[in-house]
Order: sequence, then structure tokens, then C-alpha cells
Amino acid sequence: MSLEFSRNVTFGQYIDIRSAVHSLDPRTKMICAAIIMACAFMTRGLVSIAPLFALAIIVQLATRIPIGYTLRGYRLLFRTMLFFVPFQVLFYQALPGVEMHYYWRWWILSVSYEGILGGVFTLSRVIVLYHSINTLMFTTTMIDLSDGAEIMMDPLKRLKFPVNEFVMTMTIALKFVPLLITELERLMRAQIARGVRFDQGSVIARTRKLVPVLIPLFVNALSRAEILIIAMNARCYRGGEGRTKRRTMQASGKDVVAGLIVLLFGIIGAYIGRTMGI
Amino acid sequence: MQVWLAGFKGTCMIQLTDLTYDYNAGRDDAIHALKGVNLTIKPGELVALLGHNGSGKSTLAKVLAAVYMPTSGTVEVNGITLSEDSAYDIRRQVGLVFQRPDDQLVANRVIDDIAFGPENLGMPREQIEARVQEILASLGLSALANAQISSLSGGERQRVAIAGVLAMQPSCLILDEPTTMIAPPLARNLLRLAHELRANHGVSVIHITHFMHEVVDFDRIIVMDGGKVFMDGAPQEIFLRADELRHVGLDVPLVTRLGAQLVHNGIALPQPVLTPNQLCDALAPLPRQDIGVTRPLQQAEQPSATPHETLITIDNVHFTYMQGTPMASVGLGGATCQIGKGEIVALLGGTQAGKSTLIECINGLRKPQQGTITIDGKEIFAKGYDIGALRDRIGIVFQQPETQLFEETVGKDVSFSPRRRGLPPEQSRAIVEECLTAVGLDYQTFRLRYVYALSGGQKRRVAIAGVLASQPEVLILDEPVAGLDPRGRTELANLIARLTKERNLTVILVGNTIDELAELADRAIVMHEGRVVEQGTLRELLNDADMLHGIGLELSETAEIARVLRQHISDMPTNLLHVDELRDVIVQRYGTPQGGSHVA
Repeated sequence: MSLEFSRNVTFGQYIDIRSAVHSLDPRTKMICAAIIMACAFMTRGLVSIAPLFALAIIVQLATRIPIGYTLRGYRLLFRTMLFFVPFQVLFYQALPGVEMHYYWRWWILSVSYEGILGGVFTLSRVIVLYHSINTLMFTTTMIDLSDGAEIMMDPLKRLKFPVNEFVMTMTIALKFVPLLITELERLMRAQIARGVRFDQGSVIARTRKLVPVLIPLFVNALSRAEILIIAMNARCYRGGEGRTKRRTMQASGKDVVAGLIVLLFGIIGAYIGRTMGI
Repeated sequence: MQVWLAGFKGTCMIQLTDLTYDYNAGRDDAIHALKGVNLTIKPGELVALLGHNGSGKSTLAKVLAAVYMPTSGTVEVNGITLSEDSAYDIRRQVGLVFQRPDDQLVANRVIDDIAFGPENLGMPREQIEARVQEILASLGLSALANAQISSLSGGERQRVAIAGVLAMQPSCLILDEPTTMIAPPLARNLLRLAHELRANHGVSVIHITHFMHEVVDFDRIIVMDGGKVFMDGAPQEIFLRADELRHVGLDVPLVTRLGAQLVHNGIALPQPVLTPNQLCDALAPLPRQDIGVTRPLQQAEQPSATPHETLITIDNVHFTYMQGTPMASVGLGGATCQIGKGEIVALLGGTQAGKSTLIECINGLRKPQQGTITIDGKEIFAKGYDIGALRDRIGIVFQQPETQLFEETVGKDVSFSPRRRGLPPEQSRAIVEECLTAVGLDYQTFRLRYVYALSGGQKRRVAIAGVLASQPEVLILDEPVAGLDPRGRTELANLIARLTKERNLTVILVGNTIDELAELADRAIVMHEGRVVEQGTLRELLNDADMLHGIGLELSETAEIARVLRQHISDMPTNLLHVDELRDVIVQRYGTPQGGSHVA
């Protein structure tokens, strides 16, 4: 086992290359991701998801991120789906007025042409959803995300919601992710060196082996958090009030173009799904 | 690199009166960390704050930076008295740099972290931008402005941390043990920066440290002990009082001690000698005896001729981190070396030399993409090789092992390996007792102690005992004394010396300094940029001290003094391990016959 989580866990990682997608305004990207997700929920079958799938491929090419690297992040997703999709196929219920083509049938379980299509559709939908979030994270720095979120959440300030504090908390939590991953790798290496085999034993045994890793991980993280509070105070942090920002956000023509493209593909998919149900 | 921040002039006057600070103030378990401190720190003063662990120096730093409120007494900064209401105003004036940069970095990107402080001050956008760019340029960080902090090296992170504090233009900068956890060259850069800030901008600097040689050119040294100011004066004055310093667990710089010994041997030197250069200058005008060829020092202790039977063979090993991702970086670029059975080897190199990667490969924790590692003639990454058994044979004490303890009590943590191997309770108990004793902890006293109630040094010992309890044949210690104060270092180094002698182990000592640990080794392997560049006994290697220095390896203080002296005394040997040898060499050349009674 190579123990390079950061190599295999690609989710949430920002990939520092320049591409058309990287240079978009974070708000545009967040809104686009939201549009894609909303439209994906309105699709009803493989035909209606197709435009969104095509859009995902176009976006993937535009990000210039190696396709192999993106796919590596799908491993866990595929493994999970490999577990769930068969259930969906086996328990597939005929829609009213649709004639089912069965290959095999027993009690309430069945394998049918429609069931398999349904399974593939679910998988495609999950991929589209995952891909939109993943691309957002790959191409947008945390600070861009949180700045974008802060601006979009601005109306909430009127409801006395502490927007700045909330965003700051999120930013710091995310800052801790790479630190915690490094720490986790370090602790697991130490345990392996002491003879622990994380890759052997039953699920319960494996989980129990994680205790010696998780306890110091949390203890160290808590003490770090405590020091970070002192450090932030020492640097004059006192919440959002009276705080200014170095960064500004400026949406431009290409944001409009990107938004229109996403909207076009999304609406086609949603329209087909809503009106034709396929 | 020259720090220059346009138009910035810091003036900071700090006045402490009867200052006390209690942790858990008012409760039964209150800890009195500061017990009545009276101090005045003048604008532009360069102050070193010394003291062993628990002396109160870090607490003092936090009160000065207005993050802790005094329990009683007053803190006054530029006329503002510290209180909950005025804390913010004082924090604007006093910047605090922490021991570990990761502790104080808030943002994900360099530029955003540097802007964090000015943003908190509510400065207008254009002004923040100008200030951030100025700092970036001044600290040589412009190229990294948009880099992710998690992708930076330790040294770069520290520079970012300091940049973030300087962006607020503090008139007083407090450095809270920033040099404990970083490599010596980075520590020197940091100190140079402190001197520049004072010289260019009149910033007062309070530097907290364990290392005496860092502060010899400061204006003032304040020694803390038991929550009080124990000594306060110029370095020339403080370092004459060696006995008092030793009394509180500190010491004078090695060159000062050497200077005192030389005076004792009849060489007329001004006291105290604070730097190798001063020693050099003081010796230069003295009459020198021509002693001809230097006595070859290594003759007496040539390494034993009996060659070790080869245990581990590392052949052309390559390892790349994050291979196949956009973040790939080379860790090993063709490392080749051998380690003999029962041999004690020092694996030396500067940062990023590949030492840690190599030991992880030896233990099968990382699989090289190219090259082979064989142990007892068997290739460890071959199919069917029992890597679990290998890990039982090779014990690694990782860096800062105390952060890896996980059981509640000492006994449980140390017995982890015997229990895992399913040994009967009596045998497991005997192993734990033996291992705790070996690391100098009494079994009965410590068996049931809670791990989190131990001191840093004790925890480290427990961690070492835990690795010994797996009864390895090979013991690898990765920078085992790093991050400890001088007292802790010496104690642990002595302990390791005893362990390596008493136990019939193959030992690999990993480090970046030719220190007392490296001296234990039969042989040293020097790594640089992922490859083995030199091998030999320490004395052989020290003949070319300039080369070692050049690849970022830290010389021992003794060798470093010798290296500086050689620049003026051409026949000065640099292959010296102990300060006594250096003393003898100097006495041979400069001693008078009457004073030279020490020399055999």
C-alpha cells in the first residue's frame, strides 16, 4: 500500500493550471454548477441526460485537467455505484403504461431491459452531479469559493446571519483538509511500521485498527485549532465587522458566455426530461 | 534580500510592571506561569528571551502580543495599557510569529494569507494591495504569490507566516521559538531578517530561543526562570556568567566555553569570546609556534577493520511522490548504499535530501518505482516476500514520535506491539518493563501514567520504548532530538548512545547535523538531492568540511569553529569531533610552555 492519500483522493483538490474554466468568476462557476444539478434532477432518462453528459465532456476538455487524473477521483464513486446499481436493476418497477422486456424474473426481483437502462441512467446522473462539483473544486481556489459564497450569501446578513464568520469557518476547515491528510498519512505510516496491517482482517477488525490513528489525529487537530485561534487574534481578526477585502470580483463577457452555454445544454436536457419523460 | 518597506518607522516602547499570569486563574489547579515581571523594552531594541521549558517565556510573549490578559500588574505599549478593550490596538503594534508556521497561516494561498492582517485592520483595498505586493517583493515571495500554501516547503511557509505579520507593519516583532523546528540555514535567514528590520525600520524584536549562538550579537539578553526575570544584560555580560546559566539549564555558546578553556591554558584572549570570527581575530595577532605537520588525529581511532556482513543493500532506488499527478516531485533519484549487520550508520543530509523517503522505502512503506532493496539477500518488493515480518525486524522512530502516541496509559502504548504479536501477558509485561527501563523511565512509576500528562521529552521516550518493544533487529531513528530544548537534547542523545552500545542492533541515525548523535556512528552516509554523495567515517568526511557545508549539512559547532579558523590558519584541521581536540590543536599552536600543561 503506497499511502499517498493525496495522490488518490482527488476530491476537493485545486489543480493549479490555467484554463478557460479556471479564469471564470467563481460566482459564475457556482451558479453553473447549481444549474447543472437542478437540470440533472429534471432529466427522466438517457435521452434527456445526454446533453448534460455532453456538457460534462466539453467542460472536462476545457479545464485541461488530465482525464486520467479526473477519473482516478471516480474510483470510490464507481465502487459505491457498483454496489447500488444492481439493487436498482433488480428491484426495478415497471412504469405505468410501459411494457417491460424481462430477461430473468423471480419473486419481486427481475432483470429487464428497462431496469438496466434505468441503472445506467442513474449512474450517468450521479456522474453528471459529481462531475459538476468536482470541476468546481478542481478549478476554483478555496478563497475564491468562499469569497463567492460570501457575496452570494450577502442577503442573509439582513437576517443577522453571521455570513463572514460562517465563510471564515468554512475556509479554515478546508485549509485543515490537506494538513489532516498529511497527518493521517504520517500516523498510518507509523502504525504500519509498528506492524499494523490496515489491509487485512474483517471490516470490524479494520475499523478497530483505525482507532490508534484517529485518536492522535483528533488530539493534534484540536491543539492546532486552539493555537490557530490565538494566531488569528494576534493578527487582529475580530469577525466581519470593519473588515475589508483585498480581492474584488469582476464578472466579464466570458462569464456570460459560459453561463449561456451551460443554460442551453441544461434547458435542453430538462425540457426533454419534463415534456417527453425519456 | 534586503527588507525595505517604504515609509515605515516603528517605535515601540513596552513597559511591564509587576506582571503576573496564571493559567486557570482563580481555580485550585491554577498554574502561576509569570510571577511578577518588571521590564522595559526600548524602541528598536533587539532582545533575546531565554529560558528552559516552563520558565514562562512563551507565556510572556503571548501577554506582550495581547492575546493573554495579565492576571495582575500592567502591560503598557506606547502608552496604551493592556485591557480587553485595548487589546486590538496593542495587537496592531505587536506582531507575533509562532513556532510552527502551519499554526498561524489562515488562508490557502500565499497572497491571501499575507492580506489577512491588513484586511482585519480595515484598510482600503488599494492600500492592502500595495502593501502585500511590497512585502512579497521584499521577502522574495513574488513568484509564489498565487501558490497554494500546502504545496510550499517548510522554509517558504515560515517566510509567508512572517510576511503576514510584517504586512501589518508592527513596531515590535515577537518571535516565539521560531528556530526550534526548522533547519539551521533557515534559522539564520530568519535572524538576518530580524536584524534588518531593526536596522532599517527601528522595529523592536523579541526573539525567544533555546540556542545561545543565535543571540550573541543581540543588544540584550533576558533569561527567565520560574516565571521571573533571572538575568538581564548584554551578551558580553550574560555569557561571562556560565555557572548561573547552567544552573537554569542553559549554557554559554560552545566557542565561549572554548575561549574560557584557552585562557585557562594560558592563551591571552579577551573574555567572553562570542563567535568563531571573534576567536579568529583574537588569535591572529598572537605569537604562533611552528609545530610543523599536525599530529594526524584519526590514527588513534581508525574504524575497526572487521567489515560488517551486509544486511541491507539499496541499489539505484528511485522514488517520485504523487507520480502520475500534476503535483509529482522527485524524492529519490538513484540512491545506492549498503548497511552492514550490527553497524551504526549516520544518514546525513540537508532538507529535501531524501533521507526520510529512503528509510520509508527500506521498511516497505513506500515502493520505489525503480531500483531494488534487498535485506539478507532477499528483494523486499518481490512477490511472496513477507513484508509484515520485515516490519517486525525494522523499527522506525519517526520524527516527533510523541505526536503518534494513542493509548491512554504509558504501559498500554508500549505493550502495543507485544499484544499485537499475541505474546502471553507475562512475557509482554517483561518486555514493557525492559523497554521502559531502557529509555530511562521507571516501570512502576510510569506504567499507569496517562500519556497526555507527560512532558514532551518523556512522551518521546515512551514512543521510543514502544518501538523497542517490537524487538527489532534494525532501529531507525529519524531526527530523534529535533525540537527539544538543549537539556532534553543532551539527555536523549545520551540515552541513544547507551541504547546503541548496550543492544546488539543495527542502527540508522538520520539527521541534518554532524552532532553528538552522528558521532556515535561507525560510518556516515551523506545524501544530497535524492542520492548518496559521500560515505565514510565522520573524520574522513570532515576533512572536506566546506563540501559538507555546501550541500546544506550542518557541521557540529566544533567543526564549524575549526572551519572558520582554517580561513586564517591554513594548517588548521577540520576533522575534529570534540571541542577538547580543538582546544588541544589551538593550544599546540598558541599555548605558552607554562600554560600548556594540559597538553600531553
